[in-house]
Amino acid sequence: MTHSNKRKADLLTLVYSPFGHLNSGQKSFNRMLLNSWQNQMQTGEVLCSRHLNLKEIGDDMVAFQKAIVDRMTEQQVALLEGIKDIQDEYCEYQETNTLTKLMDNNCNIAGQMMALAQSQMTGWAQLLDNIQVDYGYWLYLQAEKAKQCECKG
Amino acid sequence: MSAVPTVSITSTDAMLAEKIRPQVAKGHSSISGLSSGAFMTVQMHLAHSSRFCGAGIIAGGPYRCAAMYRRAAALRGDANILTAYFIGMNPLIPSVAPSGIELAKQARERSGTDIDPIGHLKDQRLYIFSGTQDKVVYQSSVEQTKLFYHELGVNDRHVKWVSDVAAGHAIITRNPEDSPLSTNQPPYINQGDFIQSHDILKTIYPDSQSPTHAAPLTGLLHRFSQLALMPGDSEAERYDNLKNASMSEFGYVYVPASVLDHYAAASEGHHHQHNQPVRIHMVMHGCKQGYNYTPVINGRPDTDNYPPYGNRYITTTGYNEYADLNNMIVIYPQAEGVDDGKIQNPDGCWDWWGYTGDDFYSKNALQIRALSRILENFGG
Repeated sequence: MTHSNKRKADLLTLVYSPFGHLNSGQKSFNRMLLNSWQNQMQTGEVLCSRHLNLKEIGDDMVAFQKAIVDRMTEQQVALLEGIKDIQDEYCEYQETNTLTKLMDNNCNIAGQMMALAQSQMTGWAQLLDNIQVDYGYWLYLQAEKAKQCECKG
Repeated sequence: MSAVPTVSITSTDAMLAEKIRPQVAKGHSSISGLSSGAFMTVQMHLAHSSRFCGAGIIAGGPYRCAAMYRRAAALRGDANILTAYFIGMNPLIPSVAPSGIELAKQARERSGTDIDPIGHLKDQRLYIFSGTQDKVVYQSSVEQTKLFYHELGVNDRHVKWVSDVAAGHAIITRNPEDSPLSTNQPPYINQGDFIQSHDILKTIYPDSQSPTHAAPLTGLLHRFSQLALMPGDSEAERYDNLKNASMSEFGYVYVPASVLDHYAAASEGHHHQHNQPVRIHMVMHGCKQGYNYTPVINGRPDTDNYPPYGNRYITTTGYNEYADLNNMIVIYPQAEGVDDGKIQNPDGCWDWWGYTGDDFYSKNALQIRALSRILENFGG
């Protein structure tokens, strides 16, 4: 009762699946654009608010910048450590004595490089999503606060 | 305590639950979990607070935090996933962490409807932990869990909040074969200088005893069918529900010898008194920790090498040795990875963002219904 029980796609599903992929790519891209647009509009709203708390906003902006730099540094460290590990392994592979092992080793190195590139790309995409969602949520919270201030007069 | 007590697994005795059930003290059960298991712990605890007396939360955010920011995407499911990842687990700054105050307000509004009345939480005991090196569920989110319970009226003196250990995302043991303390890597079981499961159980049950040395376990780990306990009127419906709930075919339960001895003595007409009441503790594993979790390599399950961790969470995290000494039954429900387009849960996490449906946090949620039936089956 694991992944091996996964249903098999029928021929019709297979034929139409490229459209499904296009559609899901389009949806993700649209969501990013929509969220960017929403964030820009909300930034304008927050900046125009009469109840702007510059100190609080400034503090949060600095904290945002610092958090983003920290995450980028972590990504960078992971990349450098990954390259170092592959280099170490490449050096270890010099004692190969059969063609089979040689192929196996070279494919391993290529596979590891691909895996590193994949994890880096996913990591950067995740950071972009993270920034967009968190900044959007932060703006939403600021707008809610401003509304409450206006209600109180 | 350097040796890991060994435990053998036996198939379910059909009568096991019937032997245990009458001995269990109702309303004295508890629950704990790590990561997605911690988020589920909070959900299950809130939904059925009348059946529990405490909870242990290792790296888990507050109740329903995945539903906090509906505007994250046009579709509710997409918004929940984004909110879960980037607000519930990974808020860039503390001011965008899920608000414990707001979520407590929402929980109060549901009190007595699709969750038990909040009043049951008042005297409960909690253990809440967040490591300073945790890069999976950040401290600013877990701090809100503490605030959430405080807002719901849990007495601060009954809450053990631990946030100063340089631990990564993991349950902590003393086992030398586990990962270094500060790491954030599967199987998310790290070596420290204390046994976290013991701290959790001691916090929830202050009258219990902590094991002082490694001793052979007296009881057995029993395998039980989660399929048989799923909601549903027919085998086919239960099977569908099991798949839709992303739960494994089997779960496990540790039963100390004292509990079965008591049953045997009682059935022979001998009077046998327990030193302590029999209590149930439910343990919720985190992502990638179920017995049949299979790592996914380039989108494909690596079936050549699975399972990488098997039942390690069940046998080496220290719950069983504590249970052995204190007449406790430990239930280990199991989730499994499914990623078929309909259900997006490749890592076998418990549902705290809605892959089983929009209602993933109340008594009506599929997984919570299943967990409730499992708990009830053993008398809790």
